[in-house]
Amino acid sequence: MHRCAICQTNRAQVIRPKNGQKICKGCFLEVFELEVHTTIVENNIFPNRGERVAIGASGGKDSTVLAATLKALNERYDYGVEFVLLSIDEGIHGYRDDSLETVKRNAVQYGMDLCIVGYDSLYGWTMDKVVEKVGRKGNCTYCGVFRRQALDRGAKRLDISHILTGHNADDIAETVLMNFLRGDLPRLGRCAEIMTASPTSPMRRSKPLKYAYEKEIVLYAHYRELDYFSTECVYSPEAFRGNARSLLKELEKIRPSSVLDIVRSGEQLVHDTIATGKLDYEERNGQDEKRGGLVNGGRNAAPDQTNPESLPETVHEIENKAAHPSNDEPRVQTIGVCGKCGYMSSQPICKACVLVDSLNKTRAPVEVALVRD
Amino acid sequence: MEFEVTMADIAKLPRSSAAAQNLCKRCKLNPSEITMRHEALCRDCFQIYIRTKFTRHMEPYRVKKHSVTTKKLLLATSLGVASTVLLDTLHWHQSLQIERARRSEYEVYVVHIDESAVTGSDNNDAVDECLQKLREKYTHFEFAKVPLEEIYTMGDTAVEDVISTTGGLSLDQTATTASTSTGLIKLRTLLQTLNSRASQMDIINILRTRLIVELAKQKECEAIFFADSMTKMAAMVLAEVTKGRGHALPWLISDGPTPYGPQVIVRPFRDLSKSELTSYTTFTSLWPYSILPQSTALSPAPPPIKAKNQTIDEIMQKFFDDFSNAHLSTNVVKTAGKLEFEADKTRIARLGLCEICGLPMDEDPRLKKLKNIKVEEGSGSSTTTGDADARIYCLEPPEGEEGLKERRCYGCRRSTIGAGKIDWPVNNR
Repeated sequence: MHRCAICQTNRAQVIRPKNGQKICKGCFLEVFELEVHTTIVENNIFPNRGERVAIGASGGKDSTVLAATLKALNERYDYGVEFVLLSIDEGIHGYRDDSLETVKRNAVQYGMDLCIVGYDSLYGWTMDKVVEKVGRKGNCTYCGVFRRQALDRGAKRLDISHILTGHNADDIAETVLMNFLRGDLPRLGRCAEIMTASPTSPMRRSKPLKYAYEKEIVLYAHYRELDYFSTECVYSPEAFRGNARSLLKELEKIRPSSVLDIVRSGEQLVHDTIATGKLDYEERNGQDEKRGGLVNGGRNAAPDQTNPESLPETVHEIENKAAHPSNDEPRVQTIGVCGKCGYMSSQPICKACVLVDSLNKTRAPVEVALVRD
Repeated sequence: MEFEVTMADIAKLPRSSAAAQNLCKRCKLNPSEITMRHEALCRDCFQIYIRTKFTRHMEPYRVKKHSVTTKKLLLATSLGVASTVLLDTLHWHQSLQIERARRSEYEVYVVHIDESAVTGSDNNDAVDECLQKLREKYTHFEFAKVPLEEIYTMGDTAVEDVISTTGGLSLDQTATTASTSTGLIKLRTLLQTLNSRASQMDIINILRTRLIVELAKQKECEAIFFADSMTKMAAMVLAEVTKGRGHALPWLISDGPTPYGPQVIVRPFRDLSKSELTSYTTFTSLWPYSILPQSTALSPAPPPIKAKNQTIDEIMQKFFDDFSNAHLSTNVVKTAGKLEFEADKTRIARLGLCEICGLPMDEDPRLKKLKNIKVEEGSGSSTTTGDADARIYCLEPPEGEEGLKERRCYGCRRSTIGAGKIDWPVNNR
C-alpha cells in the first residue's frame, strides 16, 4: 500500500498530474483548495472587501468546482466578497435547458443569487434558431461573440464589474497553442493572463482555476460529490481547438507537467508583448465601470431578472445611454460605442450587432470571416 | 442533334490549352513537375526558387572588394535531408563565387555531432559512409565528426592546448582518448539522473547546440549555419513552449547573435518547408548523400511503438509532418518571430543566464507583477508561506538546492527535476 506523500498516514488514492505525487483524498482536496487560494492571493484577485463578484456558471464541472471552492475559501480565509452566479442561456435545447437546472440547484446549494441572461431576450435569437439559419459550421462564432457581451450585460445588470470564469489550465494551454497555430499575436499576448480587461469590455475577468488541471477538477468534483452537468454542447465543437486539444493530450501523456509548462510559457509572452500603456488603460476603464454601473439599476432588482420575461425585448435599445462612457478623458486606445446598441466597440457597429443584422436579413448571412477581429 | 457532344468531338479539340497548363509557370518552356505555393514549376525553376530563398540569407557572405580575411562558417549537419540540401546549396553558392570572383568570401567547416553513444542508435557505419561520400563530393569543405561527450573535455583542453583539440576534431573516431571516455561516463551519468526520455533528449539537444557553439569558438568561425526548415522551426517553437521556455523564444529561433558568444546563427532555410527541401533532394538526386533513405523520408512515419517514450520534439515534428497541419507552420514561425522582448538587455544584466541552456533567465511572474503594479498594503502574501510560484507550478527545488531558481530557467528546472546536483560541462561566457 502506498501511503500518502503528504500526511504519511492514509492510503494514497490520487496521482497528481502536476508532479506525480501520490496522495490521499483528504490531502488532495486540501492541496487543490490551497492552490486556488494561493492563486487568488498571489494575483490579488479580490482587492476590495465587500465587493460583489459574478461567477460565470454553466453548470459544467469547471464552473461548479469554481463556485464550490470559492465558497469554501471565502468562508475559510475571509476574502469578504459576495458571489453571485451568472448564467447565460444560449437557447440550446437538450443542452443548456438541462444544465441551467443544475445551476439553479447549485444556487440553492451554495446560497448564491442567480441571474440568467438569455440570448433570446438580448438578441432575439436562440442558438437553436441561429443554427437553423447558418448551419452547424461556424455557429460557434455567433455563440462566442454573443456570450461575451451577454456576460457583460448580465454583470452590469447586477451592478457587478468583476466576472470569474472557470477556465482551467488545460483550456489556457490549448489557447496558447491555438493562437500560435493561428498566428494570432495580440491574443497570444493576453490569453494566459489571469486577469483581463479588454478594451471592448468594461468588465474585469479573472480565472482563479488557471493553474488547475482539468483532471484534478473532475476529481475534486467527484470527491466532493458536486452536482454538475457533463454533456458536451450538441452543436459541432470547435474543430480548430480540437486540433490543439488532441496535441495537448498527447503531450500530457509523455510529460504531465506540459499543461502547466505551456501556461508558464504563455505568461512569459504576456508581459513582453504588451506595452506598459495598457495598465494605464485598465485603471481608467475601472472608473468607467463604476459610473456605468450606477446608471444600470440597483442590486435589489437582481433576483427578478432571473425571470426572462421581466427582461426588456432587446437590451440593445434600452441601454443606449447607459453604456456610453461618461468621461471624455483621452484613451490609450480609442474605443468607440456601437452605433446601434451603445455597447463598447472598437468598430462603428459592435460585432454582436453585425451578427444579429446578418441573421435578421432574409438572405444567408455574410461570411463568418468578416466578423473575426 | 447539333448540341450533342461526343467523345470523338472532345478528342478533336485542340490540345494546346491543356498542354499549356502543364508547362512551368515561370519559364514556360519545360513541363511542370511540382506545384509549389499554387504555382506549377519545372525542376529548374524550382531549384532557382530554393536557391533564391537561400541566397537572401547570404548577404553578409557576398564577395566584397576589400575583405582581407576569409570568413569561417561552421555548418552543423545531422546528415538528414535538410542538412544535405544546405550543403549542396552552400557548395553551389561558394562555387559561384569562385567562378565569378576567383575566390570565395568564406570557408566551410562541416560538423556532425555523433550522439550514438548515448542515443543507442547503431548507424555508425552509415554515418561514416555518408560523411565519406560528402567529403568526396564537396571537396572544398572540411568535415568532422565530433562525439557529443567531447563537450566534457572541451573546456579543459581548450585552456591547456587548443591546437591538439582542433587537430583531433577531424580525426573523428580514432581520437577516443582517455579523457573522452571519462566524458562519456559523465554524460551517461547525467542522462541517467533525468526522469524521462523527453528530458534526456531535451538536455541532449541543449548539449548539442552548446557543443556546436564551442566548436565554432575553437575554429574561430563567425557564423553557425543550421539547416532548420520552417516546418522544423515550427515544431521547435511549440516544443520549447511546451517545455516552458516561452521566455527564451526570441533567442531560440531568431538568426543573429546569441548569448553564447560572438558567433551568429544563420538558418537559411527558415522560409522553406520540409516538403520543399525533400523535393529538392529528389530533383537534384541528393538522396545517396543523406543518411535517411528516400523511402523512409517520403512515407509517413510509422506509429510509435511506445507512445509514452516519445519526446516533446518528436510529437511536435509529427504534428507538423501531418499533411493537414503542415500549412500551420508558417503561422507559428511568423508569430514567434514577432515576439519581441524589449527588456532583454536589462533582463540579462538583472537575471543572468541559465546555467544549463545558457539563454536568458525567466522571471518569477510574481516579481514581474510587483514591478508593474503597486501592491496595496495588507494584501500581500502574508497568508502563504514559501515560494508560492514554485508551489503553483509544482517545481519546488530539491532539498539543499534552494537557490536553483536563480540559476536555472523554468524549462531547464523542469527537465532536470529530481536530478539533484548535476555535473554540467559548459559554462556561460
